[in-house]
Amino acid sequence: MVLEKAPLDFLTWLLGGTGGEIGALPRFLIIVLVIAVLALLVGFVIALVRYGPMKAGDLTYRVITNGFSELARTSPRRIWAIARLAVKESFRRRVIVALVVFFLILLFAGWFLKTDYPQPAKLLFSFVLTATTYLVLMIALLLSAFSLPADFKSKIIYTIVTKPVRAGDIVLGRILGYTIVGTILLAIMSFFGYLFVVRTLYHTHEVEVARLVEVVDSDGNVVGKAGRTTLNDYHRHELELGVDGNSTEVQTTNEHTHKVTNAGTPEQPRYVVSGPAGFLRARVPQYGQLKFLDRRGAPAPRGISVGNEWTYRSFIEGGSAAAAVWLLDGINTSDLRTNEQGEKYLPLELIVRVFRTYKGEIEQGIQGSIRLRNPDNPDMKSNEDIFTAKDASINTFDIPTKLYNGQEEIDLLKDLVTKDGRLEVVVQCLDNAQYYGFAQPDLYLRLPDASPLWNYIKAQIGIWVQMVLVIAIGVTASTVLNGPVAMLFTVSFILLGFFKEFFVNVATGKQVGGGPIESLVRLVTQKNQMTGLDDGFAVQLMQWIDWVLKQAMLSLAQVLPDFRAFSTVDYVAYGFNIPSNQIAQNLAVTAAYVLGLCVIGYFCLRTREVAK
Amino acid sequence: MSERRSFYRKVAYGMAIAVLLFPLALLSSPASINDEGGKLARLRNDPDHPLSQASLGQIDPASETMKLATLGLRGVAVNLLWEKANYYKKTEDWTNLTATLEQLAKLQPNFITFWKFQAWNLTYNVSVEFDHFEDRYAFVRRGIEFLKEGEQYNRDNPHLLWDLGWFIGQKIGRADEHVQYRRLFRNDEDFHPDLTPDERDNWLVGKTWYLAGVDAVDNKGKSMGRKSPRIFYSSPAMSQMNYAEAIEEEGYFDKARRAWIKAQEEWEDFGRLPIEHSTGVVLRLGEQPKLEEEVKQLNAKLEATSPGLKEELVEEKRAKLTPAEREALDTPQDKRSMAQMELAYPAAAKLEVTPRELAERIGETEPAKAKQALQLAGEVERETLRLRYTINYKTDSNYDYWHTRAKLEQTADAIAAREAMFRASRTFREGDPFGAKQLYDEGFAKWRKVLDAFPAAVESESSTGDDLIQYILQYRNVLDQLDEELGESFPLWDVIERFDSEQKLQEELTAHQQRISGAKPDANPARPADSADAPANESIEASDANK
Repeated sequence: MVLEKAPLDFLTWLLGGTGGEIGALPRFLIIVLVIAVLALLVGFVIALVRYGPMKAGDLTYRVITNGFSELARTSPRRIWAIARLAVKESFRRRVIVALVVFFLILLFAGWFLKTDYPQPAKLLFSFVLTATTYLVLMIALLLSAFSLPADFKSKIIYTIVTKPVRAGDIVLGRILGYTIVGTILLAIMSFFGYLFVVRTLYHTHEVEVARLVEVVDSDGNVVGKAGRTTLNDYHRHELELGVDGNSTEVQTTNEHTHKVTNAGTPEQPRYVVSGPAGFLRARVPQYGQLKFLDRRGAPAPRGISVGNEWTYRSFIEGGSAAAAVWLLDGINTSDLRTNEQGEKYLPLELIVRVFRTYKGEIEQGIQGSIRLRNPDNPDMKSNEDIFTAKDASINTFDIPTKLYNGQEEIDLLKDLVTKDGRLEVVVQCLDNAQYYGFAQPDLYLRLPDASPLWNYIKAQIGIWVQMVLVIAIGVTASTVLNGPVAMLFTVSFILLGFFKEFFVNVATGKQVGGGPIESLVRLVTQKNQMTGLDDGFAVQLMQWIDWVLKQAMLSLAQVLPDFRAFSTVDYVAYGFNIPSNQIAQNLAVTAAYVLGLCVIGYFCLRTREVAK
Repeated sequence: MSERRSFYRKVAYGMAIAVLLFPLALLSSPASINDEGGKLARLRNDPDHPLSQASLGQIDPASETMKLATLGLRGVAVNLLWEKANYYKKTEDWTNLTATLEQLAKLQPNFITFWKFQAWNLTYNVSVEFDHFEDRYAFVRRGIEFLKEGEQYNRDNPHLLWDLGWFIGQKIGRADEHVQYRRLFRNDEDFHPDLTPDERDNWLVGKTWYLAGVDAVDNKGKSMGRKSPRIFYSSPAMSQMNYAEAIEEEGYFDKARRAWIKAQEEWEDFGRLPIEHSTGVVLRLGEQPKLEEEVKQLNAKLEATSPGLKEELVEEKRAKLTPAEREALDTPQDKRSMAQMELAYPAAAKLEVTPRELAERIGETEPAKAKQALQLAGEVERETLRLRYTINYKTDSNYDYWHTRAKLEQTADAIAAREAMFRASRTFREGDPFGAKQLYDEGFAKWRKVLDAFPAAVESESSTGDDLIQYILQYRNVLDQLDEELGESFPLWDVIERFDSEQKLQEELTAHQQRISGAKPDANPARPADSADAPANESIEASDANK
């Protein structure tokens, strides 16, 4: 799986620490402080202009004290009442339509999604999760942005405010109510989505009995049969059967395999092929830190480029001292697994990208070596294990605990792993002038698989988090704006959130083509991004305006949620477990946004005459 | 009250639409490998009622739905998807790339360039990203299947049909991995379950697609667009030759002989085929001798209209030459000085009498014959032009070489020579250099006979010459093991002189040339490329004399 940015450990992320990065919590507090001070100042200035200094000071003071006392007196019962109202309203506004749309999408999805790809599950999961995300976000948007303005318009809000509810209750209650509606929809969609994926992937084969040939051992005894299955779902499997007619091995094709059992007798077999196994997985990788050695064996920041436009992986040269070295951390007895013979082993998985500078022997793969090393004592290392790389797929290494350093027998945990649990894995390419390419997540310690269903649910939590955010933004915006404007505002927030990286790059000048005005000028005058602009007053003026806009963009970027970071679709699609700390981070971020937006929503609603 | 009724009506319509979509989904579901799809999909594939896009317009429901779903923003959607496809290709996400291409195909099913471009992408660019040859083959095949899907949407499109022929023939048959690809293709019964293993040769399968393309143009009124008719029509026969060549390489000599006989017939059929030149003149490549004869006869007829007049004209033109030019022309070619050589060629051109000049002069001297003469001159000019175009097209498609090659390869000597080469190579691999040498010697002797019988086979650029160089290089390896060298008795020195473009046999050639000229070894031997002119000719004569 391509993992360009590995998620940080939760506490590091929250409090900061590594590399001088400021933690999420201090950053949140700073932003809250800045916004609060700004809001106070603006409020004070407005009041100053309208009522003079004394009253302005008094008003500001009262707003703050009232605000805090009201927020403190927020009542769960009232919030729940408002939430129930929001739920009822939503169902009256036929949110159920979203479900119909979702079922129609699933109904027709089979037309466009075949299963003849090398990774069919990946495609189906991507599709289902993406469709769910868009639908749920759209419903969240429509519900949240239009409800309060509709209440204002239909004067229902007057009925509500005659009851003893506070502005804060209304905002929070709405958010909660719509979240409940969204959660119900999301739950239904995810249930049927999962069913759709499992149902679409399900298939079986038959054994081609006429093609079965007997397998004999060196003594001429029949030890089983070999053959293949019928072609179903665009593929077939090679298989080997034991003498009893049950499968001993079924080749993995398109990331899955089957089991063959003999429902008849050994003489008159009746083969039954099971459904697919292996499509749905949640591998739990424990990644390490990657460093490179160049062809002379000296440390290098990266391997070399073989000219690929995509620079995710860099390469090491074969037949030289170049190597990729991973430092794994926290290795202990609990990471070992036991095989059928009762021997313990350390399960490592490695993804290798092979690059050939000449074709060489076409039918032979490129050879490499893997060895383990003690990071504190590089002389303490295991002998090289030679392997032929399976390009762009997972190479599995079950490293036994009993290893050799030359002739000397060594123990994996005692000799190679340091006391604090560190271990180095050194991978080299052996064939001259051929290359291996690696990125950091390409080698990992494979911990026992997690439940794929739970992983899927975690991905739904990712969607849920995005939904809650949209609802919070929508409700807050709708406290002061009318429906369509609130919707546009929220849509812009979502769009900017999805393209946050680009937005920040424009603001910081990393994106070629200049700021917003310059880009507009280039578009209209059909100048490409690289063409220089004339030195004139107009250009200078444009750049000044851009500078101001860029500063505004940078400030906005501080509070913009990064929607892409919430998405955990890729993990499920590629069959990797979603790290819990990522879920925790997403939930924490959402809680912070909801909290902040509630406060803003409260003050905004207070400015409306009706809610005072 | 009426407001409520109108609302209920709308709800009823909505419900009806939603309910109707379910049977629609079942009726229109596209065919897949496991089931034959809905009613419409079955009708589409029914040979009696072909409901393809080409015959009935856009009716693929999946494609239509997708186009409608974009709400008129198909262009934008297509743009986004192309971008995505490029991104997935960059990030080596092949599953998403192929899925995106499928979606694009639904959005622009009748955009021919899309099919060609993306099928090429899969077959040529994506396949090489994999390290294992079976994975590579899987993507070569996927590209071909993608193109076939395009052909389904655009039935009888000559471009797609021709490309299918090309991909199946050239990509599988000419890649570095062609040995493996051809083997996989032959064993790929899922790809062509209806063919026998013998018929599953990539060149033969490619040929059937080329022929389907030719049929679409000839019998179904489809246009081949800007594709050169010379290449378009020669492809099936070339595919047959490639097939013959390939199976010969694999050691099936009897079958290869039959294949070459068929190739000759097909090549001659191609020679009889009317092909439109870019100027609109219709040519037949096999008609060169006939055209030459016609031009000769017409010229004679024109000259006979007024006997002796042409010579008079020549004399007049000669009189207008400068004395130096006349002297240059009168000097025998091998005795001309450099200055004379420079003068002689343009002077000779000045003496040329064109048919029109002759006809005009006839008109002046004998007005009664003017019309006939002009008419004849026009015919000569027309036929000469046709002859020139024919020769050009023949040269471009190497027509004569392939014709000779097809005739040559089916002879008993050629088959024996090829077989000897094949066996020699195998014997050498099996560790018997003596046996290999003997087989090579026999084989090269046979080759000499073949080349003497068909000198045209090695007259100009030819793959026969290149093949022979490869054999000679293998032979040299054998000799190296036996501590021997290419001797004077080696019968194919002329081939080395002409075709060793990479100069791998340069040392041997220099030694050979010194031996036959009796000169001492040269410290800076001439490069064979330089020896392509005069010295090479001399040595050919010398080696001929040697035999």
